Amino acid sequence: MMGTLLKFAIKRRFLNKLSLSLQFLFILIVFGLMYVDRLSAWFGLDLHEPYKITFSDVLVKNDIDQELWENQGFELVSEHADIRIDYDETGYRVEGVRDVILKQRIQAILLIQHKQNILRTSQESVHAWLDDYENIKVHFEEIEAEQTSFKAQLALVFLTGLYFMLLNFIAVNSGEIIMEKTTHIMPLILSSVSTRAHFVSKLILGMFSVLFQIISSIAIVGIALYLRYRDDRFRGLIQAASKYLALPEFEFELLIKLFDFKFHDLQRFALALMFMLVGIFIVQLLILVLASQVKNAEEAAAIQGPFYLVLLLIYYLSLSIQSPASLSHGLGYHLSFVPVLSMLMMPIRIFTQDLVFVEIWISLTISFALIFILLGLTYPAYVKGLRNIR
Amino acid sequence: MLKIEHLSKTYRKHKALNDCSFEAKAHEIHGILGQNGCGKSTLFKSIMGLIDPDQGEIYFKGTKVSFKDRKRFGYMPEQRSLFMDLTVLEQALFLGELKGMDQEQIRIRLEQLTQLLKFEKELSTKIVHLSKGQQQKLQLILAFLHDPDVLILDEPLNGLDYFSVQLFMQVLRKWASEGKLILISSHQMDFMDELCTHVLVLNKGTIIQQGELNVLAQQEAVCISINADSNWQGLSNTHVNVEDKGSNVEFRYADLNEAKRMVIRMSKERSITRLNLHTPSMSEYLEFE
Repeated sequence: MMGTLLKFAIKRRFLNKLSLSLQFLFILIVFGLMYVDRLSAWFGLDLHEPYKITFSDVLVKNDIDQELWENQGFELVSEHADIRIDYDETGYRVEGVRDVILKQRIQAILLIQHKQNILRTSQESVHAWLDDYENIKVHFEEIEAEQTSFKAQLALVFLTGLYFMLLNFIAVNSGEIIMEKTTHIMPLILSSVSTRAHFVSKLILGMFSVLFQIISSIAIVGIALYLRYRDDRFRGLIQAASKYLALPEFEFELLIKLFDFKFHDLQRFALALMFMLVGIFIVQLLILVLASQVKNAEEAAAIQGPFYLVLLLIYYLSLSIQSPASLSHGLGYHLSFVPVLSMLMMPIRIFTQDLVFVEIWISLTISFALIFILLGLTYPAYVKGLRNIR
Repeated sequence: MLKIEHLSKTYRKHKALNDCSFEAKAHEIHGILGQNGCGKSTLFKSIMGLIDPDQGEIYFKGTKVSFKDRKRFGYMPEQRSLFMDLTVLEQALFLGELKGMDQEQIRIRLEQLTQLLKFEKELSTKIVHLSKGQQQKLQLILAFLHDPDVLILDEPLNGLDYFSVQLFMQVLRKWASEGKLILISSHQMDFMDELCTHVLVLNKGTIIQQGELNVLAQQEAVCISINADSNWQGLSNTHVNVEDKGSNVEFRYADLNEAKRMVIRMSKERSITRLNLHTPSMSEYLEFE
């Protein structure tokens, strides 16, 4: 009978018009972002269209390096130009540029142009001297900590998204119980299914929804990434990013190199996800019991509101105590062993520090112990909330 | 078939059921009567296992009722208990599967019941689009979907028009004749009078009257109705229950012999212009409280 409850609830939750529409919208957004350059072109915002630039007669006489400008995305025209560049005793004068990034690009090209012009008229020795001066190599040794920090930030962005998404799914679960109670369908369900089966089915359903959402989101983003990679190795997307987000243009392989993902990172991510799921399970357990006590829809908001406020506070608390000192021996360290709080604190520590296995094990054991205690304590309250109603 | 022994339930300080005991068999239709808050719904919920009684036992076919036994019970709660966004078929499939039926069985059974209750055209209609009476019909169908041995109906006639009530009664009588036990509560006493074979009257959680309706009527309760202008006031102090109904006055007795003695006394002492003896109706049982 629990299977029937699960099947029915999954069908109602995921195979309704609203859920399907939202899933479709999510797919559209992901693919829209992945192909933003194509969409821009389709809407007439061609990202590859070069800036039209014209030079004053003086500069043209000075033999402008046309190839240099064209390689940097400019088209030299004699009329209807977006940008006009002139030259006088004080230097170059540029008209028609508002964008700061574009100003910097033009300045850089003009400096190269200017250097070329000077070199052309200078002696060989000066040329060689300048060449030596410019071609000196500076090599930066990679600092592991910075790399880790970058990856940690990236992972935390992902985990934050997950945190709020998962909380939303818990709300759906508790909303279902409230609906079953307020529509008086609960007596009919409980006359066919034991309260224990109902309780367990809600817990399973909550975690299933969470995992389904994680897996489906990863699958949709993964497919979009794969298709785009196969298409042009993200070249168009990177060009769009450089145009709109003022990022430098780079090869995708460079990005992969920058992330430098290793198997070890995957392990860290899996551990962080596990802490998050355990925390979510505890939160779900508490909110299920709260929902079971609700008598009407008005009460539902009154009970759930403060609960979400607490969860939001936990989130901001975890953000505010991310300093290395706090995480290694301060408040952050201690809170990473406290159930519920550990679902955010421990992932932060996992990504920023080299934790010893014992710390992870202790934190997880405390959380699991609390789950078992809560199961024993909350189930009678759940029964009382659903049954014995006048 | 169903035996209740010394059932009691208290909500904080309110005694909802007080030492209630009764027995009901197959083919019987038991009318559970009483004012609002007298404990009818608590009794039904206790039988269905939705409320844990403080004391007392419920037996089904000779043994203590179990969760499995209760799957042989059909229950129609007082309130609308339907998912409004589902169609009739979807709702039936959900509740039928919860009772352990497969989809094919549910469809066949649903077809039979909807035909019986003249509801067959609404299978694919969303419940929210059904009228109140149709929703009530659906609730009855859902309660009886898994062919239960015991059918518990809490105020099933609420919101039904005359013709639907007649149809309900016809169907319930048919099911009772097929060997089902039906426990029903309602405030529509005229219909209950026609429908029930047995009566159980609750007052503040206590059973104050119970038994087969015909037997009770003949042996334990009589109404004497006399003309109002027959100077009846002098008789009132000896009577159990007297009601001035305008044109006539009713004297109610729980004991037939006492009633007979009173008729003789009345005929001797008063100039009675009209005397009428009749068995009390369900509503009169309630008034006995």
